[in-house]
Amino acid sequence: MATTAAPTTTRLLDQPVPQITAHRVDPEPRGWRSWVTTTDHKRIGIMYLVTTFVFFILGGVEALLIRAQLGTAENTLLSPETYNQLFTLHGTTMVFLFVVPIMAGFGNYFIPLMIGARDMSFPKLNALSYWLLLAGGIVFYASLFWTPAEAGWTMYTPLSSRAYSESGGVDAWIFLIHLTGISSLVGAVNFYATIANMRAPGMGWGRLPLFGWTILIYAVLLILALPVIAGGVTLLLTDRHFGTHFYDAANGGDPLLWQHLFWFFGHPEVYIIFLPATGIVSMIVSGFAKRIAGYSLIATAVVITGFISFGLWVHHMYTTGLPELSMHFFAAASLMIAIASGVQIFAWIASLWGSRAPLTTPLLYVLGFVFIFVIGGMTGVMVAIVPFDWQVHDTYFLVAHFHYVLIGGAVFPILGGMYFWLPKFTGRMLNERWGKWSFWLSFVGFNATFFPMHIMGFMGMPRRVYTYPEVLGIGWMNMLSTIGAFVLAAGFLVFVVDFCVSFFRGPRAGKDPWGADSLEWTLPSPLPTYGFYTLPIVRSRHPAWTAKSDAPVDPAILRAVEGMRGQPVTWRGVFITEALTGRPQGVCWLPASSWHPIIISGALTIGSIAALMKTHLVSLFCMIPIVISLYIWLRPDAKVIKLLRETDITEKTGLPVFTTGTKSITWWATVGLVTVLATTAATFLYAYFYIRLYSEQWPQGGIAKPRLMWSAIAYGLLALAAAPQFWASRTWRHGQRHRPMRIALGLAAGLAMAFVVMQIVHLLRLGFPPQANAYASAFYLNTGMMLLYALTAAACNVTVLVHDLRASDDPPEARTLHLQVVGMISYFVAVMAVIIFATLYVSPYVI
Amino acid sequence: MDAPATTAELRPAQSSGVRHWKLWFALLGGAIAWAGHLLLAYAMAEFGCVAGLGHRHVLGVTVISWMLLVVSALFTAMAAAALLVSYGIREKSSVGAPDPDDRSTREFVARFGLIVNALFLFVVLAQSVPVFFYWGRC
Repeated sequence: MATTAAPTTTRLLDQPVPQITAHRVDPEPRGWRSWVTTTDHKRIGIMYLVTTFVFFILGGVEALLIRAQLGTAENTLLSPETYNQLFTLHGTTMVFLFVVPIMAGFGNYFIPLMIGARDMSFPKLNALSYWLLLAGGIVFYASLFWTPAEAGWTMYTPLSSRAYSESGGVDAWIFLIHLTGISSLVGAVNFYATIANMRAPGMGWGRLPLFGWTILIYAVLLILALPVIAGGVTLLLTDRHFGTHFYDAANGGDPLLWQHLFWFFGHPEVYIIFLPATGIVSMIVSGFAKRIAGYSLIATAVVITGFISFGLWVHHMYTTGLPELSMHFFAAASLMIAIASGVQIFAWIASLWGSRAPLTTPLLYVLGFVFIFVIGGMTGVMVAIVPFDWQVHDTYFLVAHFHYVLIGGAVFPILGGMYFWLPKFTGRMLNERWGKWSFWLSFVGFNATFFPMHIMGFMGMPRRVYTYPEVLGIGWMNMLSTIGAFVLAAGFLVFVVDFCVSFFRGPRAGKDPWGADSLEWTLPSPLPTYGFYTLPIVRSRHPAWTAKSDAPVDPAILRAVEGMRGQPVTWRGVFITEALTGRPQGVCWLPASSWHPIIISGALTIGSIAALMKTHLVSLFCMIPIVISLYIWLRPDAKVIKLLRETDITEKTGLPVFTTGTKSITWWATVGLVTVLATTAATFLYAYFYIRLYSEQWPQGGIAKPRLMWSAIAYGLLALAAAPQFWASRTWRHGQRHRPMRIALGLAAGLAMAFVVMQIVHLLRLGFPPQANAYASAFYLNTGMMLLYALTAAACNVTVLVHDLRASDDPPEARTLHLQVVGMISYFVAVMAVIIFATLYVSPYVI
Repeated sequence: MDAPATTAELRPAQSSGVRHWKLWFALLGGAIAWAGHLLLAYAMAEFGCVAGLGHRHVLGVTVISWMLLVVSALFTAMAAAALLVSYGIREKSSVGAPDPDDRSTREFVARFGLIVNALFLFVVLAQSVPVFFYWGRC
């Protein structure tokens, strides 16, 4: 075995850190420009946290107004319309603008530090992710200037259709979902590529911090769930503005389709929120208890919870008239998820049991979380049982349940995490006394607010009503609830004040004020810009406690780590490590600051608001900076290629800088992209078959069954485009010959374009528009999606071809990677061609 | 146990003799069985009941219930097979990996697969229970 007793990590860590004079390729902007152009994960993390907290305050004020209205019976403080707008704003803000993105904030700041990397795998995309979140928030809140949405955060159809929600508020909500959806998807791909491929040497899966596990599953859930709601709201948008009929029962559509699509996303969303919160809890518990019981069980429980969360969506629809048999499958799955959640609770209790952990503020929040979440979990098991749900559905029992899950399961861990990690952000400790006041006010206020709601629900108080009659006898409970809400708000306010004061006057924190075990605690507080000067070698599950180990290290790994010591100095670099074992297998260059993310999201913000104001010319004009920015961003940077070709990093580390296949983060990101495209396609196919299921006649409205021959040829050509693509990769792999590769790429692009032309001709001759009925809408939807996919495949092939013609001196590995990426997309499009042809053209003859 | 280092090149993780597909099946088999079972059972129940298959009986049991029984048996078998494979891999996990880092990773992955598959097997069985209460109707 290749280990030796001589070199150890201690020798590396004990070497002094030189003055870092330059750590970018380009000069770094200064002042405010350094923030708006930043690609540094720490700054982006801070911007996420600050922005989401601002939205939290907005959502909190809306909640207080709602409670003020409900404090007494038959109150007239708010009009019914204003009340509807407030609960829509409150729910949307808290879910989409606070509790989901704040997890991305924690992840951004801490994941690279916890896994021993210098940044996220795609820093520019990371910045874009943040700016798109802000864009979504601004566009949504812009609706305050005309009429905000009133249909609730679930936007059930037909309430959200144009007939019942004429104002642009629903459209602003749709833009919010699209913008924050892209933001979250981009962030998710970044997270999973980072965790899979940029872990420090020695950090196998069994040593990944538990917060890393939860963010990994958070990312996977986002990738699988978000395209479904994005698809769903796209159908809502076309129904509202282009006359399609997906959710229109009068024309063959089905409003329940929306509920299926919404909750297929909405239920995993609960776990998208909850799982990272459990990661924060695990880190706090292990930091204070100095151990974590059942690491493997917790990691497994996180993965299982993530999987099963996709099998629960129907339990939100028990009262919609579904067959009882199918409801009970989901009841069983809903009950089973309690096992996985329970495993985590018991593991935390076991970790703390007898550990003599000091009862500091972060730990108090964890204990509060356990108490509240267990109640929320138990009421969750109750509503998973079909007959019980029939009784309490859409009552205040539900409101109590999900606030116990979301505030107990997420907000308490978030505040605990803030008290735990803020010393790392600011270098100063928060005030313990104020922290305890904050906790107890929040805990008492929370339970006073939401516990009575269980009883109010049993007594028949429906949710989403702006007032209630005095004879119902629930006035005193509502008043208690309202007082509790203001006490809860006071608890949060104490935290904000504590933070502001401690930021300037708190005692210095030092590296590791809690004696915690993960890698971020090995760095100074606040953190240096470059993060790790010496990339760590991980020897155990508690790397901060074993950082200076004298255990022997594989000399090759030691050489690689020593070689990378310079990389924050000249240009930023980080290891690409093997997904399974965390063994280094390449070096990745990290880009500098960029204006493109803010330009793109700024143009999208203005364009979206202009669209809401029906000034479509402005919206079109906004496409110009987006296209220019994307072109400059995506164009290969000759300066960087030159730098990487001339670097001596390979000699110093023994690792390549140009990598391909599973050794490349681009390859992993493409897998994520293809998964997103596949989930979107599955959503549209589901819509087609769902409408088919409830239609007595198919195609609807006397439309003739589609003719096979012309489309069989068109779809056949598109499927065949995969063959030259395969040939292009093969000829390049065996001999790196440019000419046959170029011919093959051209042929693949040509076949895809032939499909596009043939399908457009076909659509022009169809004889029915997408507005004819729901069948026509679904037909055009799926055909339009295939046209887009085919155009994407053709554009990718042409891009690689043109790049090969213009820059043939690129390293061959770069060309191999391009072909792998384009290949993945082309093969996916070919498979989709077969599936869509079978669905649209063959299935009407069969089912 | 340690042979001297002959090269400074970084080696890929050594094989433990476990076939690649087996490793993946041990990791994901249970989860795929659960997802397949739930989606097929849902589709059969919803589409079948709407299409009227809940009114057609064979030996006093609806066609849908028969189909669901077959599907449940198949996916239970798949989850059980994944559990057995992961158990076998766990037995081999410490063999053939002299590097302690590789060994610890492999042991973790094997343990992980074992727990995941056991729980998914249990969930598939739990999801199969409703069929027995709906022999004659939807």
